Amino acid sequence: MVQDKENEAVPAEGTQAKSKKQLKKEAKDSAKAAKKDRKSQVAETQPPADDYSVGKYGNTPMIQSKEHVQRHYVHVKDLDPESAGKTVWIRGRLHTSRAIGKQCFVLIRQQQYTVQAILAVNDAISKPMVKFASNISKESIVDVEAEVSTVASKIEKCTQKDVELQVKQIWVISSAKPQLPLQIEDAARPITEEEVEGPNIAVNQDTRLDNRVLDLRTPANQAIFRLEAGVCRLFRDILTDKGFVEIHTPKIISAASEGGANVFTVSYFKGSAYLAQSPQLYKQMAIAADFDRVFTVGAVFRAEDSNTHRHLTEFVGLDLEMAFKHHYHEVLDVIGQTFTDMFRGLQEKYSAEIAAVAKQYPVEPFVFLDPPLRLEFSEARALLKEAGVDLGEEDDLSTPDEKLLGRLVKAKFDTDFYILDKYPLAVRPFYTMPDPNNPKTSNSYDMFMRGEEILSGAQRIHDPEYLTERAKVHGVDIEKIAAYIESFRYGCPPHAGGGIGMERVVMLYLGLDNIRKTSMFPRDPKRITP
Amino acid sequence: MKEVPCMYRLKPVCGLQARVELPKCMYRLRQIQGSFDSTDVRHNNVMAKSFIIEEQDNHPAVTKLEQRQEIILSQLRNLKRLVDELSRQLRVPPSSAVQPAGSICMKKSFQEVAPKEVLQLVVKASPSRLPHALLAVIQYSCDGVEDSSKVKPGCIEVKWYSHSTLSLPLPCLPTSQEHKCKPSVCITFIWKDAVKGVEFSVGNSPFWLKGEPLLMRVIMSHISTTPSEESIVSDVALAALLDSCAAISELTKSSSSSSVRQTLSEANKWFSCLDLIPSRYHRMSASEISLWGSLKGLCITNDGSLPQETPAKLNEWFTSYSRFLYA
Repeated sequence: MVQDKENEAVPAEGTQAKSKKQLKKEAKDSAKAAKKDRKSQVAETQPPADDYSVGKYGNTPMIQSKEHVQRHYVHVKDLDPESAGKTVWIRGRLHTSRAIGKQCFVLIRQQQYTVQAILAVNDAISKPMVKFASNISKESIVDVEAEVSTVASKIEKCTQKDVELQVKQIWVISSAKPQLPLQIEDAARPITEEEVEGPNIAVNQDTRLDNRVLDLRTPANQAIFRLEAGVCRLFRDILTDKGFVEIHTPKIISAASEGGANVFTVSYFKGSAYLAQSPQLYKQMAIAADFDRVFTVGAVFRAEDSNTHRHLTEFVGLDLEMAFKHHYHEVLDVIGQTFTDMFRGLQEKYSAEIAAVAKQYPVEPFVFLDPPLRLEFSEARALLKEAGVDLGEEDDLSTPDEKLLGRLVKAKFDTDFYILDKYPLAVRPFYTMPDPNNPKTSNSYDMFMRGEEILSGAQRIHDPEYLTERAKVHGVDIEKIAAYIESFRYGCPPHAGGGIGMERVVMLYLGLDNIRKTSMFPRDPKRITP
Repeated sequence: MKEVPCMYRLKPVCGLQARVELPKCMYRLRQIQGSFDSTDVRHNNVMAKSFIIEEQDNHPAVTKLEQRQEIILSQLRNLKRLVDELSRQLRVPPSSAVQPAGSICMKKSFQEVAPKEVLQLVVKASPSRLPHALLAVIQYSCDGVEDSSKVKPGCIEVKWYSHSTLSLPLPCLPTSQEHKCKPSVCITFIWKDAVKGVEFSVGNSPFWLKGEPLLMRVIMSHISTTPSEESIVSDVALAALLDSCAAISELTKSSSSSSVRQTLSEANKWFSCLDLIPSRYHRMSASEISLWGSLKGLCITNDGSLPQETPAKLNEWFTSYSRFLYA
């Protein structure tokens, strides 16, 4: 049998052999398709011949500081009806875009502020330009030149409700990946119990923390950390005005500050060292060194294996220590007033941030009294007894007791912040000064916000002999605290102080449910990234 | 407390949707001529249970009276609760029996109990409606005037607080001197905008009571150690006068002339009944100071003087008492 060699092909198992003619045809088709793809790619990069908006949109080359561009940018928050008619440049992120026919509605977000921008096909804006804008991926950074115009009805979904932008130019400065691990819209959605239309997606905490860079862009998070910065600033300003000096204490120390096993050990050259649990010792040394009033803002490390809503292994401590003349209440008044001034400052200067947080995490506003309410431990005991909780004379408050007491105080005195003075001596550290009028109580105090403790403080024992005696009563090894006691041997004024956790104060002020929401990159027993 | 005499004593009914008509006569027989009367007493015991009647046109005065009755009954319940609370603090058994007319148990209780516990009060008020009577009593306490007719010196300790929501400016507050004796009343005073009138709670009680006259009664009964014959008044007249003080406190600039006249006339009626508050012989009793405080509030509302609707006797007494307080 003569075989047609031209059309001969090796047949695959189970398939019919293709003829040469067929193969040629297939090759021709694939070449045609490849040519078409190349053409369309070229078309994407090159504007069509009839595009009259060329030079008004596109992707900018990577900014490498090649040249100085004299261009004034307006912040989105400053766009208001008074700017109507002006042409402005703004830089922000593309929050959302929606193409409808020949129009494209784009929401531009700059930090926690959003404004609507419109591109509509007309004599100045071409169809390709509108298409380009609608295809920009979310979270890309864009530069927009636009004319500000007022609107007939408020744009409720934007922070700038009374204006919108008529886009003239739009350029992509930094493009974002199209597939985002989480959507800002979802992360910013308020969690309500009511049924809402559409998908009610809530982003869980671990996803947020794993993609913190995106999560921090939500309006609520922008507001939280700005308010946190405000807390630090107010703390510094108020104490500086009261004559305090800011000091910076070491974080690598040779012995555990507060004793116990809750310290992180680090290798230190040929030996070991510890990360400071608190700046207590150094604050007191600064007082003994005649600084009179000191405060410090710095990291605190606690190796507590507590996976709770209010514990972190690393947090920012705001600590203060102050010498007094005759009574530790001189210090207590200063601390209490500092808090009141801080709360008032937040109320006055950060009301927009508080409102932004409340939009996503609605909660009762924080209320307080001026001067701050101060109760003695015995009064607290009486209040709890009235509510059915019987505390012994030397018992400490448990966490549920503290929460109940917070509710009782709120109901009776209408305040979320109060001071509890004269704690039982038995539940306080060895360096706490006992109350000379009552052997069972101490000159120590705690402060509470929304029923949770934020500060623990006391008058410290400043006499080395008495300190040694109290340490022995508590069973503390004197040798281990020899250096601590030594610092009081050269004359030390009576002093008192306390320390607070910045994240916890912000969490409780805003009524948030988890301290990880107020720590930018939180650290706990299960998380050390990002 | 003296029992108000009446024909029938019913449990106060709150929130009842249906109207309840109390029978106006002993028997009501079925009409034998005309339509059937559904209130046949032989079949339905009118006295035993309440029933829904056909809607009639209500006389507005009757409706108003019923509403007033409810208010008074709830106030009586609160007062009784307060009396029980105070009695517990004073270590006497709570009195549930009716007291004989014309006397109050305060005098007897003061004689029986020697040292009193410190009365702890939390008071809330707004700077827009100052508690003038309370401020006057506190001022006298601070001044430490040695006069048996006035407040015992140094017996009220006040801690002043401003709530964070307060936006109104505070008035000039009484300045306290160092007390030479232990205070018998400790007040935690919270200034707050959103408070209508005065609200207070006693001790660790979770209940909030309202009204400056009631507060004055609590304070004065606690600090007064020598209740004179003149201060023993009938509970009904005293309660009515204090009631009038509360009504005066409710008057505002926008209140109509007729309502002002009516309220002040009511107060004047009870004031006149009480011979125990003669204009020439002043005491700092709960009723007097409450009445003065309410009228003082009216003065502020009317730019410094009492309204023209004020009866002359009341006006004269107010001027005289003001001189007594500020002397």
